[in-house]
Amino acid sequence: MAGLELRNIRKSFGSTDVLKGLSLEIADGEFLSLVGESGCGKSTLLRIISGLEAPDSGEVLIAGEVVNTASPKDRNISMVFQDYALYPHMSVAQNIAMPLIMARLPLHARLPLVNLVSPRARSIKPVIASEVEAVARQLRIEHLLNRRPAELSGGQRQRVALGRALVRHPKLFLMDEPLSNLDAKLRVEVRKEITELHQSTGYTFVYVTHDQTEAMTMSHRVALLQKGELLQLATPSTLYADPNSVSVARFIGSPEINILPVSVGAEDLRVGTVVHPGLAFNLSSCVQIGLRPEAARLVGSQDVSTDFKLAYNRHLSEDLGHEVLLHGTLAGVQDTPFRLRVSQAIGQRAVLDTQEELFVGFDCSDLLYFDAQGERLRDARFSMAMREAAQ
Amino acid sequence: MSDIALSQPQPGFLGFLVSLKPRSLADAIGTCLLFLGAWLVLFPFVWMLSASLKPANEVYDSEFSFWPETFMGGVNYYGVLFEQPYLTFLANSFIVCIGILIVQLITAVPVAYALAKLKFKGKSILFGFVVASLTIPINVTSIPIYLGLVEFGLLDTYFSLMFPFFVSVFAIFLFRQFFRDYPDSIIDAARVDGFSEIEIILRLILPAAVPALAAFSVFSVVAHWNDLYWPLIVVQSQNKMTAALSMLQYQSDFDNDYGRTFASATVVTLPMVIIFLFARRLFIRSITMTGVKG
Repeated sequence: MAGLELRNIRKSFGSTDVLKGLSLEIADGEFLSLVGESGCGKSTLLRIISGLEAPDSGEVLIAGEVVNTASPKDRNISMVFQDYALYPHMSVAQNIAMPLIMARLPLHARLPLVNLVSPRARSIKPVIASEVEAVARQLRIEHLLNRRPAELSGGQRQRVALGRALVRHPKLFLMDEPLSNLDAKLRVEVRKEITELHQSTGYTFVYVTHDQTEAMTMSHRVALLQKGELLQLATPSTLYADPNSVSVARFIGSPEINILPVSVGAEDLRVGTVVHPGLAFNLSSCVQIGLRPEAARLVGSQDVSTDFKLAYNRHLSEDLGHEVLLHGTLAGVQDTPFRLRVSQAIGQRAVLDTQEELFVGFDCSDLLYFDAQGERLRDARFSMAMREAAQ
Repeated sequence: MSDIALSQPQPGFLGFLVSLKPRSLADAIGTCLLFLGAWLVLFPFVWMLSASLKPANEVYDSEFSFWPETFMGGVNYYGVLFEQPYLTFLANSFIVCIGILIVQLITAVPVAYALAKLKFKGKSILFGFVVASLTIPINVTSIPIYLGLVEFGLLDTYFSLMFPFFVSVFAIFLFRQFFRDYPDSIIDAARVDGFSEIEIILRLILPAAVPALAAFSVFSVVAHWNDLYWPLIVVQSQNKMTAALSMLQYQSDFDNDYGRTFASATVVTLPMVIIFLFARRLFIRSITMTGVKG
């Protein structure tokens, strides 16, 4: 059964169409990331799933039920916000207990003073307190329960926000860029914790981020959004190795993929100064190719083992220790930057250090072919090779 | 040496005098202007105190002296405190001020929340009306309200004293400005957690808005404690008189007992002066918070 299903969701604010008929399905227990640049509609989509915003048309189904008209609290979801959104004047314990108090106590028993005498409130409160404690222990914040949010560090606040979301055992766990306010080191740490949390709880997670690294490392599948449309929904490795369009290829991967203009003849392919002949090439509409910075390699001046070999004009090199990142251009395509990752491991570094003139070599099977609209062209032979490479 | 004395405040009156020592010519001129301003503000009070100690004929004397020739202070103050139901007047003022304040808060807080945080059609127009209403003086609405109260036979009641002030546009404006700064994500989190809108106001917004509530409360209580205009219109009997109105009892077309009137004014002002001394900071904040004086 699908944990969450979206059918043809549309939403516009004034004259701007934020979401243009978006459909997707998330399996129960899946971790799905919604990725895209700011303004692509990913946060709006999350707000529609949560019920904080209503779609103009389309249906939202949680666990098989249409919940379009249900208010956020009736959807049994939890949400973690970018700025944590903790209740500032309540203690950590009260913050975590709040969803349970709201769900289990009737309105009159929640009123101040009444909650001191209401038998129901008095019988439920110890239960809630013990559940809060269990969640706090799970997140290792039990020593902070009596503090106020203002007295906590960013990472601690993040844990409290997670605790408040966890405590009600939601059907759906929504996260809106929860790591963007943390520093780099803490981000990696919390990223790991969230992944572990997902594995230990088995809840369905929908995770919004603009950071492709978070999306790639944490999710089962990634939905890439652009201008209110779903570009591609696939596993991280498929998105990386087998993107549907130039936009996807550009967004996923760091450093960015190289996109080069090419010209295609009847049976040949020209990249820069080099023409590769003898191709039974049926991709006549191809005008650009994509090449990952690590898919190409440095070759010796006498080396002729690759389909293409082009002189490389290096502008800048960044030494990261385990690899060197080169910025430059290829002979014949001076206008387009070409990035190259030279890895320590495969002995490429020796070539870089010793050779004065650099040559870059790659094969037809390393390339991704795109038409003028940026759509991917799949040649049967090459896409087979790609798929094998991905696995 | 003098620099040290200036930079380190000394205790007591001596320290106060040292702090007055001008540091430059501009400083000296500024201090003089401030003294002048303070004198302009304080002199009426000094005059009020002085007059409250005098017999009526001496109040009119062309020569002003603070201390009266014939001391009538005892008689004037005794008359004010014991020959009229002074405590009733105080109680009336208290009931009216607190009643107005409570209803103002009950009406203004939800309206301000809706205008600050909810999305609905016509919101900006509605807020435009609120701002526009700030410009309407009470004198414009008082005649229709008075006629309405007459129609329902409600003159000379607490209700009639409070009714025109139940909805404070100033409060709506002030609270709306204050609520607007409350983070939206916390409100969203509360909605996901199951808060109703009313509970969001009660549990989240109000605890954060205590400074604004306190500032407005001080402002409102002072304004209605000192109000003379409306009580003068609707009060007909002595047992509904507010403290401010009670001052006018000693005036008639034939004889004005100014000594006693000013003794009354002193006694009526006193509670507000005491409140002001305790809540000075709140009072200042209520005026500076929006830059609008109600």
